[in-house]
Amino acid sequence: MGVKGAGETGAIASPAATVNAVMDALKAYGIKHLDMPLTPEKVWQAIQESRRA
Amino acid sequence: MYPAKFEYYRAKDVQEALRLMAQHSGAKLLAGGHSLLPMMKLRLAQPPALIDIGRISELAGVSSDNSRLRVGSLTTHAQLADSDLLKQNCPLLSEAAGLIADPQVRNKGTIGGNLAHADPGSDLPAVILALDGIVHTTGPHGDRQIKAADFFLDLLTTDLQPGELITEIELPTLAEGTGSSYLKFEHPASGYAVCGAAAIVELAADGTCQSASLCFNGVSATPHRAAAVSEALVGKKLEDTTIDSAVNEHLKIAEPLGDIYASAEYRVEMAKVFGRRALSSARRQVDAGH
Repeated sequence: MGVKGAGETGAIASPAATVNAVMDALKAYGIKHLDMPLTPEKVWQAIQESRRA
Repeated sequence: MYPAKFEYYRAKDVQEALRLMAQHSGAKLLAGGHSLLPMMKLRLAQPPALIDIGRISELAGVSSDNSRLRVGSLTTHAQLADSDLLKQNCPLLSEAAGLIADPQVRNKGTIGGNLAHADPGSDLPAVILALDGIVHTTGPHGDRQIKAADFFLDLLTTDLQPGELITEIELPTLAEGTGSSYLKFEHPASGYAVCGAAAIVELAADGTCQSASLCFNGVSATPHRAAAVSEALVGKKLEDTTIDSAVNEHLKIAEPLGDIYASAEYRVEMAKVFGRRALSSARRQVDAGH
């Protein structure tokens, strides 16, 4: 069809960049790993658990 | 999915609507349709007939009557958000209406339909409860006035009787020295309130709290009034620290809802966060002299 992909590369890198940014922010709580999707509750639960530990 | 088969009738006025409701047992009223039709398409609702009241123009509009506001049941959320009368006298309602869903829903959805449907994730029930609004209805046995506190009975269940329709909602005018705020934690796709906080504060001449009202959507089957929080604030200066303590110590939700997006535990925590923010925001509105 002569079309060229223009969006896929961005879609590969951006979730990884976002998750890395969140994990960097959560480093202070000693949180090392979270699976996607990073819902608000999942992040909140991880912070609560790290406080209990 | 297609809805189950149904008949369609259009009422040109309230009397015809009541007559059609009496004739067609189990029929549902159609106003904006943005809660009912999706449920019918999922076959969660299968009314044998729809009675379209959407063109009964006398049921729409906002007016004032002494110091009370009368909001017609067919007033759309877009009209509520846009109403100068509400912005000046009861901005809590216009603010909350403007945050509902998206423009398409706001252009069709009505306050009457929203309250009658009583979805815990919708925005207006907590607002009407915080305002101590009165729902006016008419039916085969005459007219009724139902206080907001008595109107919401359970999940998707109100005190509306068969054959009854909501005509208007009566609200107070918020006095000088009163501030209000509606803040919500939305579901990112639907815009429904995972937790919505409606706050009203009234300050006395010496700057202390004369009265406060804090109600929540989204956290329980019916809108939740945080009465203990309000009582804890009366007579005090509404510093942020005072508000924070009152909410943290006194907010108790008996049977919080939870679902796949947000658990009950998380909703209760968010109720504290949004309760604190809404009260502080309402207090700042008084300072700004709205």
